[in-house]
Amino acid sequence: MEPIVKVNGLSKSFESSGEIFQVFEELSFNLAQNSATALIGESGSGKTTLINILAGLEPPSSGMVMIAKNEIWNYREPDRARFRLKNMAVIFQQYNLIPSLNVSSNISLHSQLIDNWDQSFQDELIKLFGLKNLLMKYPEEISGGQQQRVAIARSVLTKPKILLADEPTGNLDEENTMSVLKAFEMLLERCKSTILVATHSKSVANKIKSKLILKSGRAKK
Amino acid sequence: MKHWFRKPLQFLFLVMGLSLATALWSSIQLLNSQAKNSYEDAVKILTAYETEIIISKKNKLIPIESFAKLRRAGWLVTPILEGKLPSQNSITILGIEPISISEASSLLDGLFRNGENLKEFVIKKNIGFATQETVNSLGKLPLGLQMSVDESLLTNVLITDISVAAKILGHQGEITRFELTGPASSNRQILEKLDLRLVPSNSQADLEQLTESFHLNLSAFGLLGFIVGLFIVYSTLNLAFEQRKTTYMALRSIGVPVRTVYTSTLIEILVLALTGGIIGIFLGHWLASSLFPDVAATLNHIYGANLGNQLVLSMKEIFLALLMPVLGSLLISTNFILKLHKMAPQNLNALMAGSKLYDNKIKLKLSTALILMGLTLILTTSPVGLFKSFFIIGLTIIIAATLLPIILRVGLSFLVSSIKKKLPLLHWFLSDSVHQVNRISLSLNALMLAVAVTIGVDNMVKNFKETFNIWLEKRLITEVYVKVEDQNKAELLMNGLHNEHLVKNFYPITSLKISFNEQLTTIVGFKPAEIYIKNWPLVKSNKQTWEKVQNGKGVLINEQFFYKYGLGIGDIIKLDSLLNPEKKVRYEIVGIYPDYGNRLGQIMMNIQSFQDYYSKDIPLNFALEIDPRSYDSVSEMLLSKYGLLDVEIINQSTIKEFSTQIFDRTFAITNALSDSMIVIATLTILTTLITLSEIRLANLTPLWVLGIPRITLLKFELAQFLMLTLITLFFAIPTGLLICHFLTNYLNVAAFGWKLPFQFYPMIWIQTLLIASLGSLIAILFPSILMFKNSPALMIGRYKNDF
Ligand SMILES: Nc1ncnc2c1ncn2[C@@H]1O[C@H](COP(=O)(O)OP(=O)(O)OP(=O)(O)O)[C@@H](O)[C@H]1O
Ligand SMILES: [Mg+2]
Repeated sequence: MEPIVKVNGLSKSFESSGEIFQVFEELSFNLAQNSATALIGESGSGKTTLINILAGLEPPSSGMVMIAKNEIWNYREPDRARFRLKNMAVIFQQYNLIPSLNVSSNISLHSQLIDNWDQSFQDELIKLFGLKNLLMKYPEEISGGQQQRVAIARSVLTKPKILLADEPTGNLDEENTMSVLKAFEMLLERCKSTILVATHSKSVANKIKSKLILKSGRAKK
Repeated sequence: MKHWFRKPLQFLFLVMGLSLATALWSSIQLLNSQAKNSYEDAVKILTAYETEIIISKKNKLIPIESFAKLRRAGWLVTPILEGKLPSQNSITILGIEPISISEASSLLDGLFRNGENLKEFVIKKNIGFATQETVNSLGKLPLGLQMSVDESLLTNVLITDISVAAKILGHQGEITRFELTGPASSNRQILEKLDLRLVPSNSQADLEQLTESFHLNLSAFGLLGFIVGLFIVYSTLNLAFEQRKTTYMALRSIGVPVRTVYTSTLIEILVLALTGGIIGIFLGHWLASSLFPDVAATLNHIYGANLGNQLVLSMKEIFLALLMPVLGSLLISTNFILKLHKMAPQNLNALMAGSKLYDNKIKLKLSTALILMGLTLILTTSPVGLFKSFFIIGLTIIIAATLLPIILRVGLSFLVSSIKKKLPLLHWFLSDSVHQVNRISLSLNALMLAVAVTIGVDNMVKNFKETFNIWLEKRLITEVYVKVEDQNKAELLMNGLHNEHLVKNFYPITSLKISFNEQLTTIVGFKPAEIYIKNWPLVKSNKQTWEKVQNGKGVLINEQFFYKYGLGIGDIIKLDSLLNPEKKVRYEIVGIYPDYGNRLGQIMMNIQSFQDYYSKDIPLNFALEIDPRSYDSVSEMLLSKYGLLDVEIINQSTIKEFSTQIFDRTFAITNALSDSMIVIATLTILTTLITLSEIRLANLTPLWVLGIPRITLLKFELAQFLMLTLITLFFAIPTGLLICHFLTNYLNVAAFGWKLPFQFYPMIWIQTLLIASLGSLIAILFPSILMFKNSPALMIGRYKNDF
């Protein structure tokens, strides 16, 4: 079967104060549909950057990103945004919750936007992540770990074709980490999603067979 | 302070906000005082002929030799020869003696303030000064004059040297009158010897009163401007400090002593305030003087009072101007420090939860507003003094400012709950707006107050103009008004006017000051003829009003009397008869008339009754009903046949035209001012939005990363601001009207004893709203577009680094 994500010769460099800083160079890999992959690499190796590029948020310096036969970086910005909305869900290292919506609305917003909202699934996720008592609160009123769980619930609820997760368990305890992995399994089973998880956590990485290692500018599979 | 180095743009806008507020306030002050001055000058002109003059006893021309004799005897006088141009009757030629007249502060001030004109006048004898209009209508008359245009003069007046005028008028060696340029000398014998007489001035006290009232209203306007400015300062600084809460908390949590944080905050804020304030003073100065040349020019044009092109910056003004930003920043920092104090350092989360805290206060605020409203209502029902009316106006502003965010929040929250989840983006939009209201409520309030004050003041000014027109109308019941000094002339008129075919009708008027309840009160005797019944303005009356006045049983009182004694229609007053001290005369009050500009209570009664009980003297005033076109011949007739002086004949329509013009110009100043108030308030919106744009970015980025295109977000952003601004603007209308209502109906009554007529001028509101919407639109567009132009990078940077 054709891989759903194809990355070919992807390079990214930043220019800051006249110096060019190469994050990675000539990166190529594929992600098969309905698979989970762990993205591993030391801090600063470019995990977040890669996820941003895949999500269509941050442009690559060169190379090609093909997602479900769409070469996203050839699209205009609004189209790329719409593509992201429809097909992808991103869990960010910084959660990116919407400050003006309460937890409940934060969780449901994305799936409602793509008309894919499922009340029972939402209830299930709320239970799984223990968010029941937080539903009416606003993001600024809950802890970092709680915010992270809300962000994960939001993304999972959209039943995305592709889920990009950046350090989703960074702020979570063992039990919650397990819940996250469980939610990912649900997606793999029920929705045939493709998941890429950037993580430092050994326990998370160990649970996922396929690994993508970012190291001194090369991805190793 | 490092904060500012990281965000120079914010710093810039903060200082800008502060200086704009100061600029607004200081220019209001400046222009207010200028408007007062010019208005005063206008009054001077209106009463120009009321300066003391010396005329011939026999109402003839005076030989020029008297000039030297008078000066030698210590009389500071200047000779004037006045007459109509023989070839062009509409133009008055005024021959003057430039050296002595320049001592006087008269209508020629404007002409001679500029020393050049005086020099020219002295050197070239055959020079004439007039406005362009007059010069045009002079055309090519062979006067042999070199014309110099000076717009500070009255139209249809030609000023020349007295010798030139004498030649043109054919009155060699003669003059019409002397004007006093200084206090009258005690040497009166010389007047007798020269067969001259001094005509004392009778200044128009009522016009002065009107002036005072106008001044008070301008001061009220200044006060309101101060409040709006304070709001602007407060909102600008508030935002800056909200953003830095975390920094302060961090400072405290790493162990920097509380006091150090406080002092550094205070010092910083004061430095900011003073910097902004000083820039603001210059800005305000510039604003005032750039608004001013135009206004000054037009003012000069009308009454030749040179207002001076230089606006002088006095220490007092500087102090007052700086008072506002400093006061504002002290207020805000106190508030802020209190807030900080309440928060324990470890409570960072609670601190971040600012919006929730706000939520709990909404009930408190609502109840505060309601209590204040109740208080205002109670205050308005009892009699109102000057201080109390200012207090009520202040309360109104506070109530409005408290209510606006509540209304916005409650209204939007209601919409949020009614829309629920069917339309997720709309739901987000409204929820976000609720949060946005919290952040920008202060600037919205500043805008609301600015617009409200503008509407209020403009409406007030319009009312004032209307009032003035009524005041004029009242005195303009007939075309000509004659006011004489001595009984002989009065008798002559009384007996002779019947037979003049040019005079359709005439109405004698007489008055006296009596004491009523130990206070000075004027009683007026008049003939309640048809023309009065038709034209005399009454604020309260009934069907029998005129009937009772005609049969002598009823009297009319002015509003001042009404407010002073609380006596209204149907009440009986008893007055002591002057002719028969034993007797008390009973009158029923049957009508109340507006009498703007008069502080004294006044009672008007049938002249018959007046003569029966108060004075048999022949009335000295006469209203003459004539055909307006025959004014010239009538005045000619009065001059020659009855020996009246020019100054004793008042051409009402000229006065009316003239004063209306002056009012228009004075109001042009207040208009310009209130418009600039709106512009500055919209600039506050601009600075607020720019200051806020980072926060906004943090609010919008999550949506963008979910996959909402930026252009959609931009549209939402614009829609949000427009919605909030429009609601704010509409809220400003009733607030403005309330302010106006209290200004005209409370402040004026308290200070002067009369109500200004209160009318609605929707055109003013629409105009004001248009200006404000346009300004806000620009203010909104600019930061929004700026925010979205380079936003991908910004947004990325934002959510990566700094959440
Ligand atoms: N906007 C930027 N400008 C310049 N350099 C950047 C920028 N964003 C990231 N970098 C650099 O690129 C490198 C990769 O950053 P990235 O955030 O992708 O690392 P990471 O692997 O996600 O690290 P971590 O595990 O700590 O989250 C880092 O060295 C970072 O300093
Ligand atoms: Mg990272």
